Amino acid sequence: MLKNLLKKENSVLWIIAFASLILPFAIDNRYYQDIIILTFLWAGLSSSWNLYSGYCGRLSIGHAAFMGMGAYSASLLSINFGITPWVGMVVGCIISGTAALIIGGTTLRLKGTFFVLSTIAFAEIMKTVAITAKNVTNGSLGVQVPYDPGFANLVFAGKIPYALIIWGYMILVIFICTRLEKSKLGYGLIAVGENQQAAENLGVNSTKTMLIAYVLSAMLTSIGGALFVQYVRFIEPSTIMSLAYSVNFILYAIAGGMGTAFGPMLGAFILVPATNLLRGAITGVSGLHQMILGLILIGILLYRPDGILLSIRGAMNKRRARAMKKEEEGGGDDAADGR
Amino acid sequence: MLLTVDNVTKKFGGLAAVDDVSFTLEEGKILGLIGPNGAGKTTLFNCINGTLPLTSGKVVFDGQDITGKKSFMVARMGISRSYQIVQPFGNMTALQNAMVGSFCKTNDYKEAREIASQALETVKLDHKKDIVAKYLNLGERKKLEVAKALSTRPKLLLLDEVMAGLTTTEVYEMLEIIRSMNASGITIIIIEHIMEAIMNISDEIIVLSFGKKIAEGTPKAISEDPHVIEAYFGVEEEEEHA
Repeated sequence: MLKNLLKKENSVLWIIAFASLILPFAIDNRYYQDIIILTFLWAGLSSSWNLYSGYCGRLSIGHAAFMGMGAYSASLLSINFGITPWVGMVVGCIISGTAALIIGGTTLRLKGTFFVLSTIAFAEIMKTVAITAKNVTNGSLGVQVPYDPGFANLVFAGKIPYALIIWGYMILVIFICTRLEKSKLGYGLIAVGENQQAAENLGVNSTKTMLIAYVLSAMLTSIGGALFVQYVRFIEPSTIMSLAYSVNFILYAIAGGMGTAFGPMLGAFILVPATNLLRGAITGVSGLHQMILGLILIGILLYRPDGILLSIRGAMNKRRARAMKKEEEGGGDDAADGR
Repeated sequence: MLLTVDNVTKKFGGLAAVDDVSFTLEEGKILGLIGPNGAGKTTLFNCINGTLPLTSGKVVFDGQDITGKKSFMVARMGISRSYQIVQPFGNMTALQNAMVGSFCKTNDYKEAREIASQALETVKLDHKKDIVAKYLNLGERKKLEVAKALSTRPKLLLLDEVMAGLTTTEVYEMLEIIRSMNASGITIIIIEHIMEAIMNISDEIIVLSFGKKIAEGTPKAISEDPHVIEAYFGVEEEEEHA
């Protein structure tokens, strides 16, 4: 029965994920559609981050760099060379994958805080590069994607095509995460996160395991970056590669449940609309919505530090362990009599 | 010979934790490793399975020189170990814990599950397979530690004080488990402080003291060896001085 419940947990979440596609069709309002699309996008991005940092428990606070690489590759190749962003997306994947391979190869062996700091440094360096390399990236002025609707240009007049594509991206990343949870790589990754030495002794090549996951995470993130630039049609280094963006990846995952396939999606589904709706609702005092959001986050971290999904799962695990113990103690009495 | 440990030395700074230890182990045997606290028993395990690099010496396993190999490679070749201080993956269930080990030999999820289930059955923990490891008690964690090591399908199993802290009933159960693993063809080296248990189960015993091998032989011979008695109880002369 418990097995069924666990299976049910995933199917309920799949239903939520699929059902969410109804929203952009049901709500015929460009403002709300925009929020929904951004929600899908951040759900996908945060899930990509989760693929390495969530499962392995090692925070990367520099994923905005990979997002930026994807965004710049797609937009610059199409503007300067007329290459379709679909190809640019793949190029971005290769670039950020290679970058992750190089960076990961040197920093993944760092422990705890040192790894976290190195990821921040990496993102800051990439941001500075994007600002300084004016000839290529247009520097701080940013890149404007021209309005020329068409499937090949990945620019559309309406919101619906964006919603479909970006929703598909979100589903893809979540699907990869659910596959990961049932694979050798996933088991190794979680084990390394919990206890690296113990995992090594069970035959897990921790360096290789982490590197593969990190590269995969970076590549999926850069796809999200490419979709972001094609949707928003404007990027500048100091936002897309900012620490604030890097933190978003983590916030949604933590709020929903790090290291669970659906956690980041749930987190994004709650926090992204909350952020945007609050911003719209509170116009009198500028910045007040940020404050309220901050309070909500502090609340989550204080009372549910594991996030929504892990709290539910943790409670279920605890109950199961207790039930078993009770059962045993019931049987244990007979054994005691026997002695 | 399944395992040949040849003049192995491990120094931490000036201190030799393992000092020029040599022994051989035939396939199918159970070798007991005893000695006072700090004798270098666990360090010797760390040297054999590649957790620590050797200062000098050689370890040959199954005809291959494994000196300097990393611990995950050694594990894949067939040496697995359990820890004295249990190291469960706390947030994974018992079965998932064991599956980390069983993925050592297979890439297939179902097969890994199968192997892990068998390992849990062997250590009599299958009824707790869906319980998250942090909710297991010490006895169960010790069993899980063995199950994890067992699910890598090792030829040689290094068991580090798997009976420490267990109740008498649990100790007997663990002895049964060790015997059944040995009967299925796994060679075992076991570190243990419970003398009754180790004398009972070992085919042969090696005694370490201050990193040196001071005696080697059958349990009976060891229990009568004057060097061993000296290492454990001290020399009379010393006591007089004290």
